[in-house]
Amino acid sequence: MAFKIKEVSAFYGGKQAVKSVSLAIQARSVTAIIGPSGCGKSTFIRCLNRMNDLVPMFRLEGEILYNGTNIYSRDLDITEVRRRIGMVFQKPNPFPKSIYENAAYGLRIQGISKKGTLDKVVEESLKKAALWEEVRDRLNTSALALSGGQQQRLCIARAIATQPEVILFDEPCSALDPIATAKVEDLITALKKEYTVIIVTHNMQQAARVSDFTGFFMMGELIEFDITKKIFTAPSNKLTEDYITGRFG
Amino acid sequence: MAREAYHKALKDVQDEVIKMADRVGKALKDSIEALKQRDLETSKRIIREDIVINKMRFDIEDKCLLLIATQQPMAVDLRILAAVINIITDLERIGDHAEGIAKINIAIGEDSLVKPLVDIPKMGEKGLSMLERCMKAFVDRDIESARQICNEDDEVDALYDQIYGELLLIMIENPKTIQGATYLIWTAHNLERTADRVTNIAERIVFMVTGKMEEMNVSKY
Repeated sequence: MAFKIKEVSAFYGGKQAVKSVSLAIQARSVTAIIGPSGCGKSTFIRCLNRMNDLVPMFRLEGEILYNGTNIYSRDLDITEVRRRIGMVFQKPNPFPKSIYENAAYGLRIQGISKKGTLDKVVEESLKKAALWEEVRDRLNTSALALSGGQQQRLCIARAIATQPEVILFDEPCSALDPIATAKVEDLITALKKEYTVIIVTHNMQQAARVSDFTGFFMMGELIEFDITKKIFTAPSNKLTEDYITGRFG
Repeated sequence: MAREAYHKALKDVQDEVIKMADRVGKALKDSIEALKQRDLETSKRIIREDIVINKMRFDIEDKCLLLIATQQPMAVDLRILAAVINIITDLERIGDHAEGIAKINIAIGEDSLVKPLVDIPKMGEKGLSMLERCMKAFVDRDIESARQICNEDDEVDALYDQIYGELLLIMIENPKTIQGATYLIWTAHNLERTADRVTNIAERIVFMVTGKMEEMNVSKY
């Protein structure tokens, strides 16, 4: 198991967004988190690499063990946590730099500047993000000139470049067209050979297509967690069934 | 995100399955009655009208495929549609069994039957009762009733064995009855298969409700 999450609750000031969630996330698999808006799914995934630490008044109870280590323990380097557990966001957010510099960014801030190393990592990351063939002859042009789908794959390349073990995706396709979405979904499927992938998505078909495990959240609670096939064909909980068949939400 | 139009379409599909089952049940009932009464006109009508049953099956299947393609049904909705596509195939085949009995009646034509019909109508009534209760179980999502119906298939099989044995004796005693007796064996065979089809439908109802496919009564035929 990559993650062992034990009775995690998350609060923004007095408001509880995640309520005593426990689950285990298997390494080198894709886990999808689904649920209606405001159910706490994004808050939950952001707990997994301490992204919520940046939010004022945020507080977490419970334990999140990554490979046996509590990622919230005080003696842990938070930057190292986020290097190992990367994140890709809803809206593609490349830096206003060249394609090359975007992919190389993580290494540069780690102090790596040797051109040979950077070239190699940039190429490898762009290849893994299925973008290399489309941009190899224009690496020095601005990342902002890329299409939305290409920008999102560049963000994935940027996340991969620092050699993370886990990639968290928060609604990675909600700003993309169907073709770009299909490419990102194929990429997610390919990535699970090397990485543990956790994806928050509003798109239930997407969860059904790309994930091995699915968790359904509602009002901050984890209602059901099971293998994806079971969740989408014969869920155990009536609430899950009503949500995925569109009877509420 | 309450999807009213989608859920109405899903309900309409199920209502149409019930209508199709009613029509199939009537064809079955009429086919046996026509055989009993030596009523060739009714048998001809059953053969003519089988095309309506076939059309109902294709219409329902089309609607299921359209819902799958456009609405991405999940969980119980997906199971309903998967079950319906299978159920209408079995219903259509029961319609064919009724048509088969009608054709046998026409083949016997003006000849008299080699024996009075007692157990064949019994088989028919049993099969029809199984079908009607099965469709009620479909509406009520009643898996206990569906399982019970599967168990009753043995009674139909036993009646078939009995009819087969009797007709064999009649043929041995008087070889002139071979053709007429064979027609009645075919009739009984159509009814035996009908009950098997109803068992298939009952299995699909259990799947629809529980998500598990169970083989509930393995026919020895």
